[in-house]
Amino acid sequence: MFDLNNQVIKWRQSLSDSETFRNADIDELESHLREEIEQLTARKLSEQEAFWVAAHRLGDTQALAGEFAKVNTSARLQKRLFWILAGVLFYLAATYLSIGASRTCAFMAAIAGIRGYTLIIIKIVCHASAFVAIVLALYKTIKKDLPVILFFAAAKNLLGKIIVLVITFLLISGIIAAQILPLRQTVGIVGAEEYGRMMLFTSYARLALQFIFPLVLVMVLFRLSRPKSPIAQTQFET
Amino acid sequence: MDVNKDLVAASATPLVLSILSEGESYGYAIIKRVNELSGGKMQWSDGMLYPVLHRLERQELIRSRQRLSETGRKRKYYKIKKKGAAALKNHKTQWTLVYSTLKQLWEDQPCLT
Repeated sequence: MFDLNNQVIKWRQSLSDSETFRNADIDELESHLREEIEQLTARKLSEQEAFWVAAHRLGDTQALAGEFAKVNTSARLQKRLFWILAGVLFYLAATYLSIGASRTCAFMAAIAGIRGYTLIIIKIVCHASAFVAIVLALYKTIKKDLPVILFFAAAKNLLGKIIVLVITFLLISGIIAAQILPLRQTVGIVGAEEYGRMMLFTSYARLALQFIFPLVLVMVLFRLSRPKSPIAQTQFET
Repeated sequence: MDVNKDLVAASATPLVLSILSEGESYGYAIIKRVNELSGGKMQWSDGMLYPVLHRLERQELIRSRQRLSETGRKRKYYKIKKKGAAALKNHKTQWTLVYSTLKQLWEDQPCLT
């Protein structure tokens, strides 16, 4: 069964897959598409036929993207800058959150009476798994385009901007607190000497992680380079 | 015979400005007007009009505003600005010059042979 709204949503998606359209452009094109569909259905075409004809008349997605790219150079740059900024922030978030997590783990293990190499291993395993988990979680969120939508929604009004600032501030304070508090407590429990030894081993582990990270990043980037929209290639579902 | 693609592209700006000089309009209506005037022989793919409109807006020749249509649909209406009217005048001079030059050549030709 042909669902017009569903097809229009897919058609919109095929446009937004390209970096060149701003949301306002897509809205304007959709308004045009719907108007044409209305005119065609009034002339006894079925919704499906009308959609096909209207989409065809609007033009091929790739060709349109090419034309819009000539006018929307700044939109493209803005989107790219956003992703660069998001990447840097996500890396920092993953690093500091995993440090916080590993210190909290070490603190809890120390309370449980674990000492020596076992404690070191627990700390390192916590650190690495927290880092991987956070990167995966962020990757899942990025795939849904959720941060982009939220970011632009927040950027629209003053209240949104204030909320983003407050959340950022709380996050930073949380990260700092998560690093300092368990650290102080653990040093208190296991003693400065043992903690120092633990930190040395953790540093080796982090060094290894920092070699692995670029590799993981490249792999993620390959996954992220989305295949060309299936709609643009195979035309619309019938 | 349909009009050549390059010529359609070259005439896009004066066409849009001329249609808007008749009064405020929106994308879909502008396309319909072009098709109506040219008897459908100057059809460009509908979506190509929008980059032209956006470029003209950036050049401050036209301005746009969102408004609800009679049917309740959100539409972006475009209106020509003073600078646009001046640009249109300039386009008119140029196109008339091209046209009259060609016309003279084509009318003179039979006499030369």
